[in-house]
Amino acid sequence: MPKHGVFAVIGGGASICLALLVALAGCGQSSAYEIPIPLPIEVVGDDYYWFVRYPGADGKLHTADDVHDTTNLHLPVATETHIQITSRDYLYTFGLPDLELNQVAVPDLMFGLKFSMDRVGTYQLEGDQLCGFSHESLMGRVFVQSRDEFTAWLRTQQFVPEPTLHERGI
Amino acid sequence: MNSLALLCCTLFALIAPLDAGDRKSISHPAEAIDPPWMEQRMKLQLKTVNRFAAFIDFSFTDRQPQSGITFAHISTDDTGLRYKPSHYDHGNSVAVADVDGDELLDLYFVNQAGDNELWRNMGRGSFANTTAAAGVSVPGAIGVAASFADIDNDGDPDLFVTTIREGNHLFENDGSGIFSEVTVAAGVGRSGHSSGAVFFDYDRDGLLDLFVCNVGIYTKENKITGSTDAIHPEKGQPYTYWEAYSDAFAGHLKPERTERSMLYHNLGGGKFADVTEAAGLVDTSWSGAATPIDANGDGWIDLYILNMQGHDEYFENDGGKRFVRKSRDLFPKTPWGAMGAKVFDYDNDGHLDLYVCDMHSDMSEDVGPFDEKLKSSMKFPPDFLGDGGMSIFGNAFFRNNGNGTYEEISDEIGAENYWPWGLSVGDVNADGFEDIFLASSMNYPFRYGVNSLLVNNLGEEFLDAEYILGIEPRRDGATAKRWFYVDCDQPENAENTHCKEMTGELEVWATLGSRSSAILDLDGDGDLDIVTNEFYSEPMILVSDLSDRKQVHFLEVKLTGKVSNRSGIGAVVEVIAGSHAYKKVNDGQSGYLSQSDMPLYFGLGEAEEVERIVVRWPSGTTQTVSGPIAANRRIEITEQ
Repeated sequence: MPKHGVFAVIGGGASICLALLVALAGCGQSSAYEIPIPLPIEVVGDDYYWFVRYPGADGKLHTADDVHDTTNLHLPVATETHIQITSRDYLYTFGLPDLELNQVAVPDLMFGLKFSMDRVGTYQLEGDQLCGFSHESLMGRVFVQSRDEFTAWLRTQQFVPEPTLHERGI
Repeated sequence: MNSLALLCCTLFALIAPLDAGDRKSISHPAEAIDPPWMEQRMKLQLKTVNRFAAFIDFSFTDRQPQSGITFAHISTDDTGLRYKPSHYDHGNSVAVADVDGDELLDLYFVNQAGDNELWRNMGRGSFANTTAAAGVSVPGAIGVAASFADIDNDGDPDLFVTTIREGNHLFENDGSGIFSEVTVAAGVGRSGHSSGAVFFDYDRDGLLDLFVCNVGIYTKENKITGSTDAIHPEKGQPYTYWEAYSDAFAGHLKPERTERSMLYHNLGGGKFADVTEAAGLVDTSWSGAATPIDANGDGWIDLYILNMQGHDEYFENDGGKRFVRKSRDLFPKTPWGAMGAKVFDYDNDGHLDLYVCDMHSDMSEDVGPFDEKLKSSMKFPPDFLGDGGMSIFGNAFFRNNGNGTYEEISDEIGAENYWPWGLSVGDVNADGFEDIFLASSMNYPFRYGVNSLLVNNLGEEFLDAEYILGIEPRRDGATAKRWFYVDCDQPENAENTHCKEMTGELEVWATLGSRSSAILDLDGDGDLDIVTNEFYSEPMILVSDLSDRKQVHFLEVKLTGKVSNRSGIGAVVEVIAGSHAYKKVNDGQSGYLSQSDMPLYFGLGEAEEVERIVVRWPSGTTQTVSGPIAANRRIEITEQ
């Protein structure tokens, strides 16, 4: 049974247990997580890293419950995904070679990629800063997971705040 | 060893032993100094000699040390110590003209961090620096392009120089090679991100007008101070430049960074008027160069404007009154990253073709040294290209069909190459077919890239011959030089790429590379030589020994307009010799970022005399000079 299904069942009358399970799950949400369709994800290039933002339980980006990660991309299988890509500093390219998809990350501009991964697996994420240097930190992986696994992963990422520039040493 | 460390070991090579005190020398990339593919590449090309029907039993030798020329290009720190990808890496012009009337062609080199320099041709391949006396050093500015043209019809070449945000400059020549700045009076000193400048007489009033390409706003509002000596900064002179945007190459996606190019009408009396809007020649593409072209053959000179980040533009000249944009009508697909262009007749069919080289498409991915004849597979996404899918990702050769249409045949005739900035056209083997030198390559932090010499195989195709003819390898086999010094122990250098893996004082070596070029007979021996302006290095003075290897037959044609502009810019000249007709346009287009004032050089093959010469002047008149005219001389034709 999906983890959010467990929450839905237990949440009917045992608040203490719910709180315990929420804590164990590393979650903080008081409601079940439904993967929004399409799934919006924001990818930001910054200092040769990709910073990835996922929607929290409200299904929207740029709200208090957003989930943040770096370098890699997690996607639910067979789910229409809309990635919005931008940059805070340089000009980057963001590529998913297995899907023959790529996009550019430009400061102050937002470009999109719309796609759906139809098979679970691990794929390449290629990044480049178009400068002649290779930046290993821009090379990542795309983890395409079952919807349950994706949701579970997302819950483990709760409360990971987006690192500040100072924390990243910038 | 983690993957990052492994990567860095593959990118940087430590050069041992330490070469300068406590400094360590590193090479970036590791193979910059001795590219492992060079020898194999040369062997492969040498195996192709049997494909040449054209004469190739001669060679070029870089005689820069013997020439006396000590000019050295100095690039800004944004292309080295403070590296970021930006349009500073486009480099600078070398332009050619006989500035002092001694019938020897002089050289003008444009610089970034250093002064521009004028080198007087003393004959026999020797040059002397006359910059100070000439008054054309343009100090304190990051220069870009230079164009020689006789703006006042007094019989000597004047000079226009563009800079990056320090104003453009117009110099009037007194005929002896001494120049006076007339920028303010002429009204052409606008400050911006200017690039190539083209003189042509669009309204056929006998005065040369001026089109100035402005790239776009690729710098911020703050200046950076660097040293003219990047290896020993304390020994150099300070200079300042506008810092480039970190996303400079996305400028075409940002309308607020648009900077339109400008058309100036020559009013006479040393004055020009901005007629850009009035003439309908409003172009906002990211343009570094343009070329005149009478594409519809009506005698009114049209303009092909190269866009380095998008679709090129073609403006048709409507009777000298206005320009009409017909870009996609005549050229539906154009190179996405166009840099240089030349109009010439490659197969002597009497129709002037258009060759456009594409640099920026070659930046979308790393291309191996054995795949350089292929078009780019283009990794930039469509949103970045912004071209509506109407691009060629590489060089384009537009063959003039003679019926008002053009056909793109670059791959069919072997006109693709890698990292080209601009091209110079000349008949280097004097066989009557125009050959091409493409100043190519990048520099720090990229791998070495060769310059291309495409020999015209008797009008059938172009064959690569840079190794065969001694262009590559360079003198002493050099492919790299000291690029900059960085002290990794200093906090301000902590973010320097090299300092993330190393400590102490470093000297970083990087690859050599050319930007602009000109083809001319610099030593007066009857064959054509090649001069380059390098990026952050001294020029190459590539002297041909063709005239020592065979009996060369040629004719130089110098035009003097009367009704037309004095130097006959825009005239089309046809030389008939040995039952062959050779057609050239006198447009001064000589290489990237440059316009030169040179006589036209016609190789005549085996013909020892010319039967006749036909000149179609910009005024519209056609003049025939009947022969026989002996070869191996310069003939001056004055408009009647």
